Amino acid sequence: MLRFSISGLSLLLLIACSGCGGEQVESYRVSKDIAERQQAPQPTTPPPPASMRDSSMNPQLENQTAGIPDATWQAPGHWVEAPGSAMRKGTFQLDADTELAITAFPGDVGGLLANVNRWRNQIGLGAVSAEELAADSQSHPVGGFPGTIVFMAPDNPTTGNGIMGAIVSLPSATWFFKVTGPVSTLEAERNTFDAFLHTVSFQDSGYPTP
Amino acid sequence: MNIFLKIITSLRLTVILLSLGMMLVFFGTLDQVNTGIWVTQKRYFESLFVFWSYPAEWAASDTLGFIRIPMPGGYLLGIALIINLVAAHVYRFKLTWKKSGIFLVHIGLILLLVSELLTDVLSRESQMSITEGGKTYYSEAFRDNELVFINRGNPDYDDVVSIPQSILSKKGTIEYESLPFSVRIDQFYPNSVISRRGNQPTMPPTPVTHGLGAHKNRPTDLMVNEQPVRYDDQSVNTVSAIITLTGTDGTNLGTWLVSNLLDDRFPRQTLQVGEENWDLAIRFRRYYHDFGLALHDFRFDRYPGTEIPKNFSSEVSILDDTGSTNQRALIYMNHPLRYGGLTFFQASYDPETEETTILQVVRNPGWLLPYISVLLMGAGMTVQFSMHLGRFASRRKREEAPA
Repeated sequence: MLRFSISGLSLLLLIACSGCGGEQVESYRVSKDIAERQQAPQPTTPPPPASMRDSSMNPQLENQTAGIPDATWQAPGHWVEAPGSAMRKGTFQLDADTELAITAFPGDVGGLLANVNRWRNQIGLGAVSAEELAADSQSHPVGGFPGTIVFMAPDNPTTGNGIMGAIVSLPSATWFFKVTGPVSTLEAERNTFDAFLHTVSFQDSGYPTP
Repeated sequence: MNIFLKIITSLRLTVILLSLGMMLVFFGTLDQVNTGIWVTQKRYFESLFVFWSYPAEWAASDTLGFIRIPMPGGYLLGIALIINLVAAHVYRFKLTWKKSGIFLVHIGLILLLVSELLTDVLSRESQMSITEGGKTYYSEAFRDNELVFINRGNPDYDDVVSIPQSILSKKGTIEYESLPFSVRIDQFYPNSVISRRGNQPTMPPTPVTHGLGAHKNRPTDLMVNEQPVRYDDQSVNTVSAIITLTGTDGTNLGTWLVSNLLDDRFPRQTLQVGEENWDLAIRFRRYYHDFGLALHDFRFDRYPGTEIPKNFSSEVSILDDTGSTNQRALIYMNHPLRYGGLTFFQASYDPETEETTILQVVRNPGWLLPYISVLLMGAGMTVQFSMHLGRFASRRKREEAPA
């Protein structure tokens, strides 16, 4: 009897302690279709998850953005400058559904390809390789720094939004000029956007401060 | 019977343990007001010992703040109760037909205690957020994080290596067969503030050489400062680490800053090793399921004349791994969806868009045990009371019979 109860108790204790055994490094393979949360087509960039919208975090982001020297530009007359946010260097409303967002982040922020693929993901397109990107984009300097200009339309251009953008690499920061809106508007604004990029000038010496 | 056996089989011990249990619930409830349910659960019920201290928020805390009351925690009480009950059965009670009801009640009680222990050990809670018109195949645990390395090279799938937070916090070097490099955890911050060092140029530079936090990007390099871990229900901790990666041939692949703050609002940090590109990040612990949920409609009402929401409901479809729908369900208060060993409760929503639902996802393999134990106890009580009633009735009959 005693033996029975002791073995019963040790079994219970074993169960209790199995949770403390520690976790392991693990690896798994996940299909690209399900790897990320899929959003419905949305007019603007989806908001970050509610759980992350902790007000204490935004000041940090603002800090990083605010530390980058500013740039100047001349916008065409029909673009309406919208009130900026702390995260943005500039915002323009091209029309009611089309917006230009100008942001800058320190460093190379993952590189050109990763950023283009991030944009493609936002409008429901699959990732491209470096070769495909090179074939499908234009490179010309913006404000004296290497820039890459991309134009992407969603699979169904009549319903979803497209993105027209420029990514400019400075020694200490990367600048993003991103127009999101209906493909027809983007097509119509293509030349204006190019002209706008020619007016951009960065207040950056071009070299990191020692 | 020796003195030790006498103690552990005694009814007096049962009464003492139950009283201590009531005390634990009482003081745990008092503390929950200040610390939130998550901490209270860990501190009071998933522990062996606990000290209740006089809350600083209470009146006269200057003079009474020294008061500390030690008491046994939930695990200790639970295990002691099981030992007490089992030992009493082994040494004191004899299984007789007359006492079969009491035996059933006790077996139910033991099962209830065991199921509670199993729930603590085996259950897992996470959250799934889905936007209307979108779909999600995974849930995330906001209290737990993981360092992940993701190889997205294949057009069909991603290879993910996940190092849980509990391993990161031990620091040290991690090698894993499918990673073409080793990972040394130089610094680990369970909660932190990340700021730009440019604002405080007198601070020493971080050792980070690659990625978003690299000091070559001076003065825009990032600085990490440790913060006390927050446990309240509303806070999310910024978990960060500084890691150094070394190739299998010994080449230094750089020192990187990873943090759950640097999420999909930021570009990915990517490391190139030979032909392979590996993204690295700290993110909320992610659990992929072999099915997904698509949200058709999320709705709620407001109390008339106020902004206070009520009656949340989410209309979802269950998607199998091919993406096709095989079942629709409406999730609302007290009506969770049970599917694939998981239970989905309506938990919250995104107040900004009012289009994203947040479901609490609970995996609890022992969820049936409490029901079984309550059934056993109910059956035991019915048997015992019926027998008492029968005995009482027959005695009454005998007494009433003419002498």
